[in-house]
Amino acid sequence: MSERRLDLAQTSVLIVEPNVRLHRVYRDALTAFGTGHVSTVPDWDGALARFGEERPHLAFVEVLDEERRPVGLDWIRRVRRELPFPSRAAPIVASSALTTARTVCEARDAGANDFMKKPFGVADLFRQLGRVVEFVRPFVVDHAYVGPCRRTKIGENHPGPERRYATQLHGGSIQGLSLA
Amino acid sequence: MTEGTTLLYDPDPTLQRLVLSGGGVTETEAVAKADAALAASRGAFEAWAVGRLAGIEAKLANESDAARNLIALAQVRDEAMLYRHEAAARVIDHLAASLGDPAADMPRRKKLFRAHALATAHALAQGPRASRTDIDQLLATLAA
Repeated sequence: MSERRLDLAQTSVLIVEPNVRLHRVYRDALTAFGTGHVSTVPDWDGALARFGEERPHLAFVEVLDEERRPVGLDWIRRVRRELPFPSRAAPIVASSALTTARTVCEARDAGANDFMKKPFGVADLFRQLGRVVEFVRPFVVDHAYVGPCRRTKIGENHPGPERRYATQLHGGSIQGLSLA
Repeated sequence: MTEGTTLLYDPDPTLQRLVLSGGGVTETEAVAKADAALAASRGAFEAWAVGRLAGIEAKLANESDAARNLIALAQVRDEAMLYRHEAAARVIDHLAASLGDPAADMPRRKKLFRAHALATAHALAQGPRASRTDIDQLLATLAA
């Protein structure tokens, strides 16, 4: 079976990582993969502004600071709620060494597309890029949650009248949207 | 937006269209290219990692030091993995576990730290293809 090819030349990736020693490694690896533009930011406040300015296609964000506070989760929520389309809908991969079920669920509920456990190697990084690209999902805007649709299975035989508690309205296409 | 209403937008195909165009690299090619790109800084990382572990060990005096240094160790391990030093990263994981072991007193923890630091240095010196079995055997000998 032939391996899937990823052409990253036209993509930009933002890395939000407080461990600045990893910045160069991320940059070198992603550039070697052929990524068009790689930005690294050590703090979440700076990253929010950068995200709005650069409008990356994808972001990797560490979710915990050195005191193990979930600063990165708040950051993801802010991206999802405060930034205009299409930036708010860009895929975000949460990352952390602390991978309890709770941390992973909290990242998902904050609006992360996926979770990547540290430590990871360059092959894992490449595979993660492929996962995000391949698994595109509808984007949900609700008073309680903003982010990629968290359903990963389609239940063909659901017996109830409504799977979701709320009325779903079709929001249209994210492409071409400039304001929330 | 009113409570109880959910807006559902179509999946955005932009990234998929850009990336799955048929060009680009496979995983094997990407990893080989990343390896080549990281080769220039790998030696500097290896030297830094050994020095960092020695620095942590020198300051290891009490339990609060041990807890605080778990984050520093995790940072060394994360970088080791990206440089494809899987064996070294694994030893550092063991090191972190023994450092945080509440059942061990400080002299024991320091002894284990020394053993793990030596095993890590050995794994780093062997390069990315260091044998896990060899490192495990060395670690068992040092920690005995």
